Amino acid sequence: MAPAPDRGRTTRMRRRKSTGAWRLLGVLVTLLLIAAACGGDDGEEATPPVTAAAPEPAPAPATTESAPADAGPTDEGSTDDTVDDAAPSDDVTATDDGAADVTESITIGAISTLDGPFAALGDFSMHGVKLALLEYGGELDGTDTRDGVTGASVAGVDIELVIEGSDATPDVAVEATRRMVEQDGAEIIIGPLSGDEGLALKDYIRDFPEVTLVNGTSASQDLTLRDPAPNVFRFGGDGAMWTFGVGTYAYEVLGYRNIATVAEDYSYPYDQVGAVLTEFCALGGTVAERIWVPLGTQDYSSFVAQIPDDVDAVFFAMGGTDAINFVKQYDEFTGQAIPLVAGPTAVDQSVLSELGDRAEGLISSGPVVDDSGLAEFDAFAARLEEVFPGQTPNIFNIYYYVATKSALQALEEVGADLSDGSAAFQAALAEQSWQTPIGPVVLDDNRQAVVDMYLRRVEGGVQKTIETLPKVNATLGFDRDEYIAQGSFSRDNPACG
Amino acid sequence: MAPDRRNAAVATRVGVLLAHLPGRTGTPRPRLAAQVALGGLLVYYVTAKSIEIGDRSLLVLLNGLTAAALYFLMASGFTLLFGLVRVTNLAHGGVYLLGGYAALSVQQATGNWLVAIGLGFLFSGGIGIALYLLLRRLRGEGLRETMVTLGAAIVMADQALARWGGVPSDLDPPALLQGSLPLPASPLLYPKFRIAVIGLAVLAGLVLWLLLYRTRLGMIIRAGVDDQDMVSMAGIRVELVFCAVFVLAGGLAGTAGVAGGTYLSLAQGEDNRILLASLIVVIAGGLGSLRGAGAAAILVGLVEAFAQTHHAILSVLITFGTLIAVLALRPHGLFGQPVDARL
Repeated sequence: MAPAPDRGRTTRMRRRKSTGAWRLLGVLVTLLLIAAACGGDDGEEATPPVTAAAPEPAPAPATTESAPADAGPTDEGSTDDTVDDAAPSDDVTATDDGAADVTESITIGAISTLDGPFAALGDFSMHGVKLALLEYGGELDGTDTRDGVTGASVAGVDIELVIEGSDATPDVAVEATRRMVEQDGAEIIIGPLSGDEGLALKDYIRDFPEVTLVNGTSASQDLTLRDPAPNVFRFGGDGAMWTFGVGTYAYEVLGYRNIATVAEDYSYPYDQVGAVLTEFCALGGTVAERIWVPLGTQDYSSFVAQIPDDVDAVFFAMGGTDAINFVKQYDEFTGQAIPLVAGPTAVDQSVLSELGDRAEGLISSGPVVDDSGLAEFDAFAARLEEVFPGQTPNIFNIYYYVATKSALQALEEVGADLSDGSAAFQAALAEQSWQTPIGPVVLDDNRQAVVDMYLRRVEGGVQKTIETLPKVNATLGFDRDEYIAQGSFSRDNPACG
Repeated sequence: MAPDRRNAAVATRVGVLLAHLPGRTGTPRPRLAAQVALGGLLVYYVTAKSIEIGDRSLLVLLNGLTAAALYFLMASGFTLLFGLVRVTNLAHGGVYLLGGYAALSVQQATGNWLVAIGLGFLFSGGIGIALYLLLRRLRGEGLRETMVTLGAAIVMADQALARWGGVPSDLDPPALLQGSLPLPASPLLYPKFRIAVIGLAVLAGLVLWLLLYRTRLGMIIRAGVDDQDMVSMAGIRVELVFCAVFVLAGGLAGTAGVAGGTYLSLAQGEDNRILLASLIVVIAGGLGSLRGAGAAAILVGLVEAFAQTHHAILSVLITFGTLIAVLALRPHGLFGQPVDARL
């Protein structure tokens, strides 16, 4: 009994003391914040005179080290402004003094999901990045996913590869990219893999106009469609484009009139369901139920139970593990009494072997088929097997390969010159037009690819072409303004009757 | 909705009536009244929603029980370990994953599911011993112990990734339990293996009960929960008992991993998902209480199945809401006790 009051008193005293300390800390933090805010303003206002007075700083931003050196908000502001202001006026000085001899190496940062639910897909995507670098004289450092590539060079400039992983969450992706840009000094970022990561990286990279983001497989529509960032490029389709043609095929050829959808509850599946319903409902089809499943759900029994008995088909849009679990359980619970129609990644080559017989006959649309007969595809498949035995082409290794190779080609065209805030490089990148392993690619004004898609059916464990859908654009062939005006796809957009 | 409102009014009136019933001290009991009113509303809501989907209610019930079975297999080991050794074992999900993967390898080699689950149990029991040895020197330093188990969890997840890769995979159920049974009055089927999982959990519960309440080891474990010092003074080697409990907890998690790996799948991130679910169950049931783990597993499983069916978007929120509600009413969990008289 006795010690109790003592202990109480000490605690109280300690608490009082610590309250004081906290208060002091609070005041300090507030002061610092105010100081930082004022400092930032000063910096921005003060920059133009500094640039005008001293021509020496102008070449500095062109060097590779400038980006990582930026630490505080003040520095950052001034550097950006220096680039913008100095470039047009002191054009000659900048190129003569700086770029040619200071750009000794260029760092490419590759980010994909190396941990978490999509870890396997992260491995695939890094295969693609490395294959592209090998074409430019690189050699593999090792067989592990995180082992880089050395010795690659473009126009006499060494290319260094930095690899970072995320776990498919936007926060981790931004943090990893921040490390690559601000610490490793990466000038070009390849990635990320998943939809929401892409949106987060777009917002982050917008503040670094001299850094270029070439998207991997992030398929959120609004990475490029609405409010695009000038330094973000996508050489592949988005979720809606990947799903192009399925709604029409389901209505006109398969004769479905009333469907249900089951999809993961985030932006990328919204785009897939939205694209299917946009076509399907425009023809007069109806949707009986839209079921949204939390990402990473294991047990789909309660969601399967919600599918109405009287629908003609079920469209499901999921990726990786989720697709495997869903198809397995759908089969167990219904015996596939109601036919399935698949989203693009749900039956991607990366999961087909795990889906096994249950995937046979599934109809989908998507960027990759195994029987396209394109010489570039066969060459890619052969090279992939040679360098990474046992690997076959899928959306991830192809898209990361296309992204990396596009960047390297553009670098080559500009002589690996990233001066002037990468202006020449980004212009060359926007003009890239070439024959990829999955067909021709060109970019539109938002730096979004116009690419071929394939309507396909799973036969014997591979994707066979039903029909090639040439030159699918970001608005699926609808009027651009109208399409954008209908707003981002969401749980209940489009309305569909 | 008129009937809705009418029923709500009835429930409230019943509550008010109850509130004015004299209690032991003769004063109104507004708190009990509120609880009864809320409970009435809840029962009404669940019944109404279940009638709405008619024949599918049986499916929802079965889904809930299957989930509950898996949660119980996980939570019982966790709660046993906490009750006796006072370790918050955050590596429990890792043991689940490794046990499942080990069984997967065994099945790929032998093609036999029963051998797989047997060796899966032994393997994860072995991990239990490793954890016991790892934590032995930190006994009594709660926070450090927890951090070490967290570290072990990360190592386990990475080992699983390195050894079995990131592509999800699953075990094939034994031939006898493959396929599905038709559900009465419904076009849907129910997989046989899921029903077997419910049986497995009931069996595990029975064995645990027998072990704890009908054997000498169980007696020692229960005594150890109450007062470790007294038990060791009685000449019993408590350390051995601790080790046995680690083996048991690991084995249960591994068994859960084999079951889950068969009817769901094994993949990266599964360890954390199942750990979170079993934490909810353990806390709602009362840390250290086996009965609590059972009751809370059923509660959480049913609530989850119900929420996923009727309010899919809110399902995660509702599951956590259940935990909050339980803790609000019973701060120590359903069967938890404020003092050390657990189990």
